[in-house]
Amino acid sequence: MKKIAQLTKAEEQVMQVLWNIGKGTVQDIREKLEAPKPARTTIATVLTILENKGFARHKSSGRTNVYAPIVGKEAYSKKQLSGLLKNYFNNSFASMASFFATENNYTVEELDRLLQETRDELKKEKK
Amino acid sequence: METLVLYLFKSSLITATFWSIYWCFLRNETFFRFNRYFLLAGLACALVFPFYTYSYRVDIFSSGNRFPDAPTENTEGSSWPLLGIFLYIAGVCFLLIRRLNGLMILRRVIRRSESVSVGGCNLINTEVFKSSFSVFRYIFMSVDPQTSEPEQKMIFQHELAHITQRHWIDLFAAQVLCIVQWFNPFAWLYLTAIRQNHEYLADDAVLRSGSSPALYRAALINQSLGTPAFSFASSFSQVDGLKRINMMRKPVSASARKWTVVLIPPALTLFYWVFAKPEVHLIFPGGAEISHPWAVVPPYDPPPIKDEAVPVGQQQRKPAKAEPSHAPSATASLPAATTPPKPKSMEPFVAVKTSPAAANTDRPQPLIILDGAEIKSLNGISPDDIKSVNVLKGESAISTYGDRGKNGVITISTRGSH
Repeated sequence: MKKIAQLTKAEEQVMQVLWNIGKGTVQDIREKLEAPKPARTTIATVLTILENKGFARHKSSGRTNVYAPIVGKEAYSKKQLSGLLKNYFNNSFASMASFFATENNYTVEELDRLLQETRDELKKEKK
Repeated sequence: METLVLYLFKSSLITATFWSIYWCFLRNETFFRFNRYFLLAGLACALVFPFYTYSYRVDIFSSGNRFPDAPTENTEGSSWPLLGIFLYIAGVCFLLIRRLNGLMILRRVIRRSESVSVGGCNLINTEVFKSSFSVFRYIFMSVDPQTSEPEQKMIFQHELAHITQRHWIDLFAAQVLCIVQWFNPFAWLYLTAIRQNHEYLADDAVLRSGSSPALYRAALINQSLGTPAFSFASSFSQVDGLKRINMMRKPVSASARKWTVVLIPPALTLFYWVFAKPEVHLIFPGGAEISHPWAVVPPYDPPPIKDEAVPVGQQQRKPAKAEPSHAPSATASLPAATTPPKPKSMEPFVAVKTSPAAANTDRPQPLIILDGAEIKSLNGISPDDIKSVNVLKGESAISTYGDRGKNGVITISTRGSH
C-alpha cells in the first residue's frame, strides 16, 4: 500500500521551487530557498525522496544532476485531496499498530537541523 | 437518551482533564512507564466513572397544609436531540466498521505470509505495508534491500519492546475511547499522547540494550524519510523525530515530578460535586416521608386533616407511556400506598401523575369526570368515597369526550350519593 501523493512540508517547499524554475541543480534550488538556507546534502536528500515518490526526476549533466518535476502543480493539488482520502481508508489497519516510523512533516529547515545534529553526534561517537 | 448525553459529556470532561494534566506536566518527563499507567488510568476513569453519580440527601420539612411547589423543569420538545443521537450512532458505526475492516486486512496478511518465531513473537517480512510495525505478537517488517543489518536489528528490537510491553492493550482501550467519544478532540489527542509515550518507551528499551544513540537516531531518520540519508551500517526510522531524539538525550526526570498527578483526585472530586444529584425527601409533621415527592404533580391542596386515616380501598394504576405527539398518558396514583408507615393525622390523597412529554404544552391537565360531570380538580375527593377510577387516553378519550379529552380523561365513580 504505497502512500499516494502526500508530500511533507520540506518536499513541498522544494517542489515549489522546482515548479517555479522549471528545472535546476541542487545549487539552483538552494539559491531560491529562503534563509536560513539548508545544506546541499539536505536538499539532495529531499530530491531523492521526491524521486522515490515519483514527483521529480533527474538527468546527469556532467558531474551534476539537473532535476525536473514530473507532476505538475495543478495535478498535485487535485491529487492531494483524493490522496488524503485514500490514505485515510488505507490506514484502517493501523488502529492498534505500533509503527517504527511514520513520516514526519518536517520543514526543510527542521530537516536540515536534524540531519546536521545527527551527523555531529555520529562523529562524536566515532571518536 | 438523556443519560447517554450526560454520560458522554462527563466522559469527555474526564478525558480532557487527564489529557490536560499530561500535556501540562508530564509529557516532557522521562518516567515513561509512570506516564503510561497514568494515561491508562485516565482511560479507565473516562469510561467507567460517569456511571456513578454522587447523590446527596435533601430534607424538606412540610407543614402539611400546602404541598410545596415542584422545581420547574425546562424541557424543550424538539427533534434536535434525536438528530444528535442519530449522528452520534452513525459516527460510532462508521468507526467500528473501519476498525474491523483494518483488523481483517491484518488477518488476511498474517494468513498468507510466512512467519518466523523469534523471541516470543512472530516476524513477518512483507511488502504489503509500506512501513514496519507491530500488532499483538506480530512484527511486520517492511525493509527494502537498502536497509542494512544493524538497522534491521534495531527496528526489530524496537518493535519487540512494543510487543513485550503489550502496548496494543493501551491502543485497544484508546481506540474504544475514540469510538465512544469520536466527537471529542481530546480523545484523539489522548490517543496521540499514548502513542508518543509508547515510542519513548520502545526507544528507551533499545538504548538500554546497548545500542548507540547516534546510530539509532540516524536509523530513525533513514526510515522516516524512506531513503538512506545516513548511509551507515545501521539505518533507522523515526517517529516524530525531533521529539524522540530530544527525549533520548534528556537527563532523567526527577521522580518528584510524578507528584503532579495528585491534581487528579481534587479534579475528580470537583467533577463529582458538580454532577451530584440531590435526593429530595419531603417530611410531613408526624414523621411521614415521601421520597421524590415531585413524581406527583401539583398544584393541589390536600384536604383538611382528619383524625382517622382510612386505608385505601381500591386503586387503579396505569403505567405512564410517552406517546409521540398528542395525548400524554395519565396515571392516577395514590402515594399513600407507597409511603409506609401512614400516620393517623395524614389523609391519603389523590394526585395525578403525567408523563414528562406533558410538560411541552402549558401543563395540560387531564379531563376529570366525576360521576359523569366534569370537575376542575381533585380537591375535596377522598379516596374512601371512590368506587372506581378509569383512565382513558389517546383515541378513545377524544372519541368519547371530544377535544376536551386530548390530554387524557379520568373518570371517577363514587360510592355514596354526592
